[in-house]
Amino acid sequence: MPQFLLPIPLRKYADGHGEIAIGGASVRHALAQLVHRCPLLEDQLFDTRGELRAFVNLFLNGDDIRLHDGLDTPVGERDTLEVLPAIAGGSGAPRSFGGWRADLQALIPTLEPLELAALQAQAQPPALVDVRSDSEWAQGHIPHALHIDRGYLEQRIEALLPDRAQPVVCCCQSGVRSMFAAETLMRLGYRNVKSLAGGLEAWKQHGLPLAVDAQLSGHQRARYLRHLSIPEVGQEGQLRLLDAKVLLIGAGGLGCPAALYLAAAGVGTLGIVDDDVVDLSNLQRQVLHRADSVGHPKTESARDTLLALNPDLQVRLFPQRLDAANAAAICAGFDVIVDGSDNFSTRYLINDTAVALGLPVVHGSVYRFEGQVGVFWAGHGPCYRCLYPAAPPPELAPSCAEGGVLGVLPGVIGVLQATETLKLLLRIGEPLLGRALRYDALAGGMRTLRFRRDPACPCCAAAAAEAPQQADEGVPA
Amino acid sequence: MPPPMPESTPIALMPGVRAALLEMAHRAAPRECCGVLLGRADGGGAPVRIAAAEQLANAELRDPGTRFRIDPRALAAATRAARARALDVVGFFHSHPDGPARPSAEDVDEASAWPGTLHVILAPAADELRLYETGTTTWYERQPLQARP
Repeated sequence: MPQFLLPIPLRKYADGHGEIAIGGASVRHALAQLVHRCPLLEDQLFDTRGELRAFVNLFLNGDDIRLHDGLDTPVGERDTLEVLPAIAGGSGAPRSFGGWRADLQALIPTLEPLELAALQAQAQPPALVDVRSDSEWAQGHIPHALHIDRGYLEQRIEALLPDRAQPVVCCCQSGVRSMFAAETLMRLGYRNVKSLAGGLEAWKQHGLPLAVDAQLSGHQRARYLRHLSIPEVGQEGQLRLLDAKVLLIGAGGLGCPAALYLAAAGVGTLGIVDDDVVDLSNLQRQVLHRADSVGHPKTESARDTLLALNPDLQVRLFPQRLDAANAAAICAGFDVIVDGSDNFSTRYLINDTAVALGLPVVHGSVYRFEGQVGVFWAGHGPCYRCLYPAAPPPELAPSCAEGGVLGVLPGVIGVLQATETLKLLLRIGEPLLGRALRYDALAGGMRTLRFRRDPACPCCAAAAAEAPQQADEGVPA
Repeated sequence: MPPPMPESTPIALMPGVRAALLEMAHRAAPRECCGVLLGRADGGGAPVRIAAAEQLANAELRDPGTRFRIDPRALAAATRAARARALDVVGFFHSHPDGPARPSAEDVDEASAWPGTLHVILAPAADELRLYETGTTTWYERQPLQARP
């Protein structure tokens, strides 16, 4: 029969015996028989869930049973099973920083800057986690590094690097904080963690490249604070807006409110195409212009109002009528076109030019108490000609000048155009691709019209064929 | 207020053991030393006799200055060797190179084993040795009998 050997503190539960002969084919079986023979031992060996207590180790002929099959390890006639405790502890003495650092230097593997650079050139480089502060990161960082401030490391790392087997390199300014960060990651179960020796200082001394991200200034942070607190915008989105260039065709009823909100939102560059001068009858709805602007070019009046609102704005003025000769030159270099024109020939010209340049057009139109807004973008959805292959007869498509418009209505539609423009620039949400949002002010309602790309469209079929994977998905790149 | 100390058998520290333990603690400093107390516990109210101490390697490699761990395999080997000498492992010991000879929270958490396990803590800085009997939430200090040679 196998022999059970018990340590002194357990013998009182076994009638004082230190050796007990017990039957059983496996360790589990033998334990069950032991507990059956000495019921008081059960609480000493097992926890309330019936698992062996954490500090209990079992040895079969001197070998930890975990080296074999654990509790299922077979037990033979002449075997000896010994119960022993796990013993560990600490002095509870306060650790000194120097001692801790010395311990980590012995524990955490390090990587030299040139080794890291070589690894980064490989197909599957390690994840590089920069644990410095925001202000240090802003001064420059190793390309492709992930920034997690040391203070948030424990909270954020799992979401950013869910795979515990992924090799990770921690880096900081001089290579000290990264060792502590590496220890933290090891505690969290990351199995392959290293620290960049000498940190960013050593990286720079080797002449290795640094990336410096654009940053908002303190003034910009204050101005765009309400954007920064939206996760979908944040600093990255605001920087994208500041870098964006939007062309407004027309500084009239639609262009004025759209430009006002785009400038306020921090779009960096606005181009304005308009060859008209301000007329007294414009002031009923064209909110960029003032009474003292009457008689002056609309482009200049618009610029003055927009710069008064946001002096950081870059404004490019095109005081001319858009025509086939100048359209491509004017539109090139912009990211989005906001169509606020009031006639079909200009809309077709904008459409054809945008299709050729691959630009999205945010279209708006108004008549009396109704208006509509939509996004046309060849390669991502229908173009304007897919919806309106030919212009309607003039008597069915009167302009505002002829038919009149409620003053506030272009404000509603122009602001919706600005909204669609921001969505496109920020790459968020569902742009109105293949959809027209129609607003009826008298009914007080909105409805959406859906339409498809015309596969035989003489204008955009070729452009759409070049980007078939994106066609009709309604998701801009 | 700790619970009252359970009834226990007397414990005798044989001559030379105290000096040998303190010598191990001094030599190991600034690292913690650890090991097993060997002796006899014949039961029946006879004193537990601590006849010798055998140092085992501190398996705590990360913080050997402030932590200790006895490797289970080394413990199994020491237990077998003791049996061959007709001795038992009657308890454990470890040192606090910079601290007092009192159990830390980690000691109580990780080294208590079963209540009634004997454990000596050494404080080489103070040349001090204290003997404890473990409980579930606290350790009870025991005064060893001064065994005559």
